[in-house]
Amino acid sequence: MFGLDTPKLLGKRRLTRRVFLLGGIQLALGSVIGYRLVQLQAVNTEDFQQLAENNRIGFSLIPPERGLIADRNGILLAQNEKEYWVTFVPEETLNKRETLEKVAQLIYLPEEDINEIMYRIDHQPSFIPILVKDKVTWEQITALSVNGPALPGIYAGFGSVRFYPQGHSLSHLLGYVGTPSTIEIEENRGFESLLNHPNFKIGKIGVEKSFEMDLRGTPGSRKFEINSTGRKIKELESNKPVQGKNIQLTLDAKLQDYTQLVFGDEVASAFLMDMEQGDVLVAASKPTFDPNLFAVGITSKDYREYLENPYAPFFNRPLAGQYAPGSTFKMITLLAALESGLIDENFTFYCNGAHEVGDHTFNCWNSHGHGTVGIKKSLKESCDVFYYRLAEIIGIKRIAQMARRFGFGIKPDIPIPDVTTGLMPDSEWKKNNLEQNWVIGDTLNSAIGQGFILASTAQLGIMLARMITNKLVVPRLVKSIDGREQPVREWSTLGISKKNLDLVLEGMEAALNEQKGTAFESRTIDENFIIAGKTGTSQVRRISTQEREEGVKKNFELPWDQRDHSIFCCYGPIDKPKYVASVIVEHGGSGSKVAAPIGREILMRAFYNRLPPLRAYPEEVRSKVIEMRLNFGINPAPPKNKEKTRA
Amino acid sequence: MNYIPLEEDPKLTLLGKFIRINWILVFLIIVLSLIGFINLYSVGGGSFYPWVIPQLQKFSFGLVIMVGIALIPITFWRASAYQIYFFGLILLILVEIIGVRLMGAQRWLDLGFIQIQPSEIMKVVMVMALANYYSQIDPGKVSRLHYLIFPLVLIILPVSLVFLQPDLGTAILLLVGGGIVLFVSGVSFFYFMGVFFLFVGTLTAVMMSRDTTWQLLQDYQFRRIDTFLDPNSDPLGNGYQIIQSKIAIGSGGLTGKGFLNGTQTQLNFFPEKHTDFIFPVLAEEFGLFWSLIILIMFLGFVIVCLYEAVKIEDRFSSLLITGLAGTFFLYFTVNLAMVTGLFPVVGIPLPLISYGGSALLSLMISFGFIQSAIIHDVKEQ
Repeated sequence: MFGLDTPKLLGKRRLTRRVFLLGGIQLALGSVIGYRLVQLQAVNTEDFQQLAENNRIGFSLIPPERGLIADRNGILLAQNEKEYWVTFVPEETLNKRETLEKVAQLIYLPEEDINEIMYRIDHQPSFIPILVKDKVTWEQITALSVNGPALPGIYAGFGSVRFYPQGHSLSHLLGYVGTPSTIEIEENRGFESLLNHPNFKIGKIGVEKSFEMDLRGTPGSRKFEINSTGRKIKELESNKPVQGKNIQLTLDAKLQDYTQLVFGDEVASAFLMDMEQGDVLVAASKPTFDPNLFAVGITSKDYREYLENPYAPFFNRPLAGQYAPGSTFKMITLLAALESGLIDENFTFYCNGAHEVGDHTFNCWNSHGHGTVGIKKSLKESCDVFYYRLAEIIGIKRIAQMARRFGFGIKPDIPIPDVTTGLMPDSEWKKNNLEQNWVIGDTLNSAIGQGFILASTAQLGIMLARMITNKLVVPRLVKSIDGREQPVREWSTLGISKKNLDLVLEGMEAALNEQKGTAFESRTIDENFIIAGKTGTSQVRRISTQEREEGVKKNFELPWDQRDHSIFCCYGPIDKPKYVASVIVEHGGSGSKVAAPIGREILMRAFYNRLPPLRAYPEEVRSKVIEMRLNFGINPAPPKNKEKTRA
Repeated sequence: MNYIPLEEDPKLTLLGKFIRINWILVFLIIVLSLIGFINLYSVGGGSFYPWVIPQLQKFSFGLVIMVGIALIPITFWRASAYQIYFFGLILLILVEIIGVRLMGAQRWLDLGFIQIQPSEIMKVVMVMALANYYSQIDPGKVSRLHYLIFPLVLIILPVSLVFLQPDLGTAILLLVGGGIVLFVSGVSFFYFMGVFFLFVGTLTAVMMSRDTTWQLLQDYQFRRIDTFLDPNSDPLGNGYQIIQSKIAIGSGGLTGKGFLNGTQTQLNFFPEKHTDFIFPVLAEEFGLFWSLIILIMFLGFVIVCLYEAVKIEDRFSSLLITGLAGTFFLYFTVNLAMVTGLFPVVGIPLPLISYGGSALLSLMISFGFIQSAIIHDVKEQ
């Protein structure tokens, strides 16, 4: 039928060849695909399974509740309060604007806020909740819930916000929490996801900062299956957050409150310790600020007001303030002299109101002179000339060494961030820092706590506690963490002769309890609670020779910031000392008139554990005490719990 | 030259025609489609809507069309080849004028009751016209230059129109599909070599034209090339589809995650999973075993067609079957290469398995032609 070489046969043969070739190419390409499938699904499948798992799983962090802070008696100083807010899930309603306008009728929601929410609705997936309003009251939440059916997509959310029930009185020591800064996030490597959580707050200052890791707690987490748009499909796993550890401080909130009250309008600080275990009961600073403003986010106006206040309300005076200790330092000079053996207990010196060294005249505060002054009288009447003489005898080195044993120039071990070291100078220090030689005048000034010496209120209290106990007293601020009592440290002995210490204490008793004592007016007359102490008036300006000749200006004649600091450190009861207190009133004038009555008030308040009974005061000051109580609003009745200060 | 007469062979009864249908091909078509339905059910989140029921209707309609075409003698189709081609070309031009614009490309023609994609029709009728041409000229002269002019016109007209839509993927597939017919017709290797070098040259020129005033491709097409070369360069944009598709396929492993349990699929991590990216759904939920079975069935379909093409005496029928099977091969190969990251994303669905009416219809039409050629090959008797 077909010829052998017809074009048709030729065509068929060639076609068959080409079809085979095509089939071969197609099988080859098919094998490439097959190989690729084996590669993806058999060889590398584990990698892809991991990638698929990463796609599928979403985490969300639940910030932990912060630990509570209480005072020694269990009064809450820092707690967590519920805060409410309102969110809106756009996809659950058709007319979004109408829903929001209904919400605006129930809670205050300005037109521009609605517009902003509408803008966000148009620019993000509609299942993501949008914050409508935060800091909503419980009443508003109730109003919204009642109208729930008419408000599809509107939800109430709540979280916790830090609240400080004691308000202003402890803010320096407690500190406050706030949104972590970029620096804080960098410092907390490994906790970034928690610190970046919108509901997380970090301790900024004070105990809240230094015990951040204890108070913080452990965040919980939720593991979700999510889809490509991030919508949560189902919960796979969840871990509850663990609340931070509760901390009990050694502070006495009521005593601290009382201290703030008796400061009146002064710019002042006080420090009070129980000497048994070194418990810090009071560390008060005035003026102060409201930590609750920070916990909810302080407005820039409020913040500016605080910053522009000339009395620096953020300054933690009892621990961070540095002052010349004035005459309260005289005990150190005296102890240095007695311990050196260069003088004995019978040493006397004649004070005629001034002391000549070379061509310089060093004046006593009493220009009429104290006459013949012995050890007891030197403290009781605080004679400067006596100490100028001691300084000449023993030199700065012995004074500085003794001072350091009592904590001058050494940072007190108190676990909050802004504790000052103070300064105890000697010739070496002056050379290194001022590049000047130490002169005898420096020694004389140092001997009466003037010149370069700087100490905090707390350091003065620690000094006195060490004198009374003859031990290396270390203050204790934290009583227990997480219910576990913090160990009380064993204090090593100071190794100072008891006889010499007793001489010093006798002088301090005389200063309050004998006629002509500098703080005689600030004595107590309850035989169960007799106190002792030492005043100080630290000069902040140089008095010129000319002024001295014309008569030294009285403090009230000077501008506030040139007046003397008023200082007092005291303890009681003298027969079995338990409490030690130190008070510094900035530019308050004489120590005996301003700081000493405050010191007595807080010691008595600590001892009686209630408003001090009038009978304990000397008769001549009782009317003054009553007047003070009226002025400062101190009632004999036990103070009620303060009203919450939060808006 | 002897030609098979145009009249129907009187010996072939209707029953005889049914018996002569290649049932292996029909079996493969039905099994592959069933697999498609199962996957569309999974893509729908475990539901017959919105994909399975409409696709089932389209498939049933397609089956009827296939059988209808298959029963009409191949001689009729050969005689009408140029007219049908001309009709297809008119539709392509109409698309340019009154077409519906979807996703940046003008591909669809709205006929009121149905939207059709003339480029899909064209890939069948162009092959038919070319087969007709080569069955009429002397096989010894196919490589002569002036015999090449007409078939090249037949190819270049639709390719240019589709390219202008713009639909680069289909244009290239049309070109290669036409090339297959030319190749099987016996056109000299040298021409293919020439075209290959021309292609490489053009590609170079295209890449060099980027960011110039004479830019030869759309920006999005350049971006797709970039993404193809390195999908991770744009993981949330153009590279996203490929990365997520590979994760879906790879994470399926040997045995798959189980029906309706593919996390990539059910959690919606890649788009277009009912159309171009349906294979990852299957690979993720059923694993390597079934991936390979699908591949083997596709290849098996092509091999059976080629076997028939060699067996059939009629040159038109052989060329038609080879060309249509070759086009089918191109479509599934490009789609699989695309979803496995071997080839850029060009928007080609997986034949028989992806959702879509127009592609399925043209596919069933081409299967109808293949069956018609097989049924009406009566030489052996």
